[in-house]
Amino acid sequence: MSSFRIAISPKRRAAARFMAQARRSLVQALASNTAINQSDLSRALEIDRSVVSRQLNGTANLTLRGVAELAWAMGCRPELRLIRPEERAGDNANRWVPAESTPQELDEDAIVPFRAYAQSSTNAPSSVVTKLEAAE
Amino acid sequence: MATLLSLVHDGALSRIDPEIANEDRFIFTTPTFQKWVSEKLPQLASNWDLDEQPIEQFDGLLDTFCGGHPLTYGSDLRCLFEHENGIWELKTADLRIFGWFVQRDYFIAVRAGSAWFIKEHKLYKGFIGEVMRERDALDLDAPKFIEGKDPNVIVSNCYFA
Repeated sequence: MSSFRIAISPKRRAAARFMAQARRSLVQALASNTAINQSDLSRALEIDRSVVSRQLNGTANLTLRGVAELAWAMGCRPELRLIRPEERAGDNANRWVPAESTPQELDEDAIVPFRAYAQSSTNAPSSVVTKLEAAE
Repeated sequence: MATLLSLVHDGALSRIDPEIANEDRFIFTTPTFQKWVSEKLPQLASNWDLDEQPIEQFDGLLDTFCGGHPLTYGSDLRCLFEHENGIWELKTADLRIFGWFVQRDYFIAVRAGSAWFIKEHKLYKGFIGEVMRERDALDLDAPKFIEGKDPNVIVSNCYFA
């Protein structure tokens, strides 16, 4: 079976997937609430609708402040949790280090220290999970 | 003629390994696309001046798509867009990825590039044409692709934004 992986460092991957996850949470929260739309969010936040749109579609940077304000405008409360990989066995979070085979295009020197680090489960870094909960 | 599996076995197509525990959707690529991922993608910078560089956006897309997370379709939040003749586009802020669905949740990525560059140089038709030609040339059992414009036919867990 022919397969390949993209050459991205574990650090950049962790950031990329966290940002994607945060944005997904916001978009899902908005989509699941039929009572509000982007125009409502822009009015509540007193910003232009295009700013809201760009934050949600990924063409604008999303800060923690931005996440909190958008969540507030949706009537939600963002929650940030740090989870160690062993707490989420079988989840993506424990796949932060390349598995047994490493593609040629990866910088082996850059990967080896992380692989060794991962083998010590007590030192394994936490993954980060975000979720939005409806505010009480 | 060949099945998707035999094409992957023979190296005509490769599967992108998203390095996640549970894959619910799959992306296969041609050698040309794989070369783009290896050589061009790491060089691209964000035209939106984002913290998230294109290679990171691509990795985030792999996580979202292959992880089976909800995909948005419609309005300006879409990450999925349908062109003519069963050609679909996966989107990030800075990237456009063109291909087709050989079956539900199985995407074959053929061409990709910078969203800004494609728009600036009006390359949509050219990219779509290239994908169609590659699809025609690929020795894949019929039906080679899913027809129609309904996103729920080509992917699971998709909703209109």
